[in-house]
Amino acid sequence: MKNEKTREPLLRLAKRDTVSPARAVAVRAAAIALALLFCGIFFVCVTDSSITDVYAAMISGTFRSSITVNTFFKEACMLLIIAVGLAPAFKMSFWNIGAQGQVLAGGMAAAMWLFYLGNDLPNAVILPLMFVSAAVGGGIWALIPAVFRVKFTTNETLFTLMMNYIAIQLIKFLRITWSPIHALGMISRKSGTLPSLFGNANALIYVIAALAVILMYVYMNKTKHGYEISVIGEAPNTARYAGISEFRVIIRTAFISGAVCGIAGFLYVSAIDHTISETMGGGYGFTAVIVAWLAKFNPIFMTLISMLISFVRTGSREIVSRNTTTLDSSIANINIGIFLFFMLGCEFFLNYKVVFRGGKETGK
Amino acid sequence: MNNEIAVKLTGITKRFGTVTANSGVTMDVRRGEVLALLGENGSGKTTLMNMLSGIYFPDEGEIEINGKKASIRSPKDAFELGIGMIHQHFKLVDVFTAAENVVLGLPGGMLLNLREAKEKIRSICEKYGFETDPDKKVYSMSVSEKQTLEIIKVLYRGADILILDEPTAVLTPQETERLFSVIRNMRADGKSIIIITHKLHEVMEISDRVAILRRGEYITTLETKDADEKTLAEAMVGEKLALNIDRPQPEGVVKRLSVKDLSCVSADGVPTLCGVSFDAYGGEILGIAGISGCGQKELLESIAGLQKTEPGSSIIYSPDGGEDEELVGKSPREIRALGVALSFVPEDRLGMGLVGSMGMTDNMMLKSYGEGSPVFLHKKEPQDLAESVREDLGVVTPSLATPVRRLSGGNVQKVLVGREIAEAPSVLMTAYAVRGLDINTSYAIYDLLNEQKKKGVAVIYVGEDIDVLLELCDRILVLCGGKVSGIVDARSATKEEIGLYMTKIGGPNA
Repeated sequence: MKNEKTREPLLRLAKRDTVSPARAVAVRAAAIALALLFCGIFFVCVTDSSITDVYAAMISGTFRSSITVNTFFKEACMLLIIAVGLAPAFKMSFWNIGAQGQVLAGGMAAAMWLFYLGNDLPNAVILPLMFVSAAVGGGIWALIPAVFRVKFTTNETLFTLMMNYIAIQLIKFLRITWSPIHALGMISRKSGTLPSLFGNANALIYVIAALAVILMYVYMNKTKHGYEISVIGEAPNTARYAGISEFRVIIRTAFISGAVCGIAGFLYVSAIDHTISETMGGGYGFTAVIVAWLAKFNPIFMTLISMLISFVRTGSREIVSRNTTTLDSSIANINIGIFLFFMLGCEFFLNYKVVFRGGKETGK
Repeated sequence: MNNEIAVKLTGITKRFGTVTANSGVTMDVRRGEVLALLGENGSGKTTLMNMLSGIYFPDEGEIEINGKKASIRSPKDAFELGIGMIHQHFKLVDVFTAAENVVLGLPGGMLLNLREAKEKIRSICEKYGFETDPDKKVYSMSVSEKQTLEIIKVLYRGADILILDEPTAVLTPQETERLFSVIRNMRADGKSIIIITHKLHEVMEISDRVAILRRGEYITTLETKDADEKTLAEAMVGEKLALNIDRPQPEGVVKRLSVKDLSCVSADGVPTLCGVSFDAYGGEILGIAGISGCGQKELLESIAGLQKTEPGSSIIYSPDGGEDEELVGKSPREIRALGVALSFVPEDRLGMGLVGSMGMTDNMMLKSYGEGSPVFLHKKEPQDLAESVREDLGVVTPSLATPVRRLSGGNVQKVLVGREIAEAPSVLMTAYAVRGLDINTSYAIYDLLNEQKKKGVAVIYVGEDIDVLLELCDRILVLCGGKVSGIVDARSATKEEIGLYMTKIGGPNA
């Protein structure tokens, strides 16, 4: 027998039983700090600036003026709304990867009213119509895979993913059919624009995001529906024994999940883009999947993570704008990638402990 | 160095966070012997064996294999030392055949030589007396066949120290017999076999020596021939025990449930129940015996409204001072509301009836959460209920919010059975209520069922252990292939009689 056989391994992994809240916060904070450090180093490498300049630029790009601050909050809120929408579906182990499609479907439903009746109906009528139909549109987009999952046990991950592409093609079709949009980009109509509140055009987005977070928190933690979602997500057989109808709960939850994403689509059409395009939301439908997961479906964490991602995005954009000759706007995505890498990586250290030779496996 | 010692453990300690699972365990296993590892739930048997098989690494202590110090860092190291473990939960790939599962993960070239593997599997089977078809897919295997395959898997890898974790928990008496004869063949071949079990009569039957653990500590090793069930049980729990199940005479017996011509067909169109008819009475315990998968599950689920029954089936429920009700066609919730409760303990203990990530409180309201406000949950009543179940049944849990999957098997089952009893049902159905439980907890559950019986509840008890059925129940209904093979008086029936009914419709009279 080889001698090394009798030695304890240099490194081994021990599963942690529980993690104290303080430790969890510390590990995550360290991950965020490291992510920001790497983002900085990355920029130092691709630009000529020093690391302090990079951070100064990122901070000033986000907080310099009320316009930049508003952009920062607006993007964080949109990401947050979509993530909040995904949370109940994920909690139910319904892997909804179709948030992007649900946002687009909601956007299309809202834009339909805007395009056809935007000059004939007052805001008080058209905005609620747009809101409700966007929710229904997004809801239906999620409902279709849900029905197939329950009735034919199809895989909802693939199904919801494919629904994204159907939505993208539909939008392309509509842009051509509604040729003015195709030509001009914007649907300019008398009404159908979300009004400002306290002089801030984005204020209603913030209000809706805050409401979405609070209502979803209550829905998932305090209501019977939320309880049914947890049971089905965790133990489908137990749900059957308790007489919970899987069909009803999955259909209902998928619809609610899609509806919240659809509302995000409504906001894009009525407050941000004033049109529909296949790039609406800039892929937030996918980023939100990770936000929801990282936050373990906890709306408070979702808020924090959304803000961080938005900060990385606006900060990166600022640096790109200062180096337009050498950098491209897709740099922001690289930085978000770095950020998510660290955030997801730190989950490993929360679940496992690395024990060095001679160390004790007595993790807290 | 004594060459006869195959495994020697010295001062093995293993901690998980603040919990010490094993503390200074020192024991040995000889070559060519069957060592039974006995201990209550949570006494650290599985943890100790996991350290031998490379799943955990001990915090302190030494392991010697065949007289040489060994450091077992991974299951691969364990294999190289000739240690193979057969876990309670099988680790097989369902869509693969037996042979494919056996060669899975073995080193080799790019191409699989399944023919050679099958030859070797056949020779292993012949040598030890297994029966298996190397081309059979795992998903079409019975539990016993899967277990056989797991054993073949470790033998194929050349193991000569085999660890079996509660191998008989899911087997019928006949399957257990077959397993034991295989174990005896392996012992004759000079292999060391460590068997973890709760069943004392099996320990007496199969083992040469018994090592006893209590709360993570090694107590003693006894020669089986010098021990009896009572001394073993007492060594295990550390106090005097009376190994008798109480069986009060039924009083004030009334007909509660009348099942007539109950038939079920599985999703694949295979009949699972054929014309089952029987009556269940309040104030008695009706045992249901049978080889696993003979319709026990379908029978209980039909009564609870969870199974689609065939036309012509009828289940009449007669409540106290009320009209008779036909249960067929009612929803599970309506049936529960009438006072028919079902607790089914599945093999994984959690899958049917509990949600692992939820605490006791949230699990308590699983079947009653629909009451009260139409929108919001009320946690007050379930919390009180959880508190009283915890107190009455002695559930050991750090808090009512601790996820039940962190509790030990016995405590999980107490939560499950406790919730059903708390609903004050008039028909209480339990399946495998003591599955994998240690002696003390099992007796606590029998006491609970007897209490219900004394209250006039019609108790239907589906069990695996015929000895227990004969001691606990008033009558025993034996199922065989989805049909009622016979209904016998448990006070006069014998184990052999039941065994005959289990394997042949009509039993001894046929």
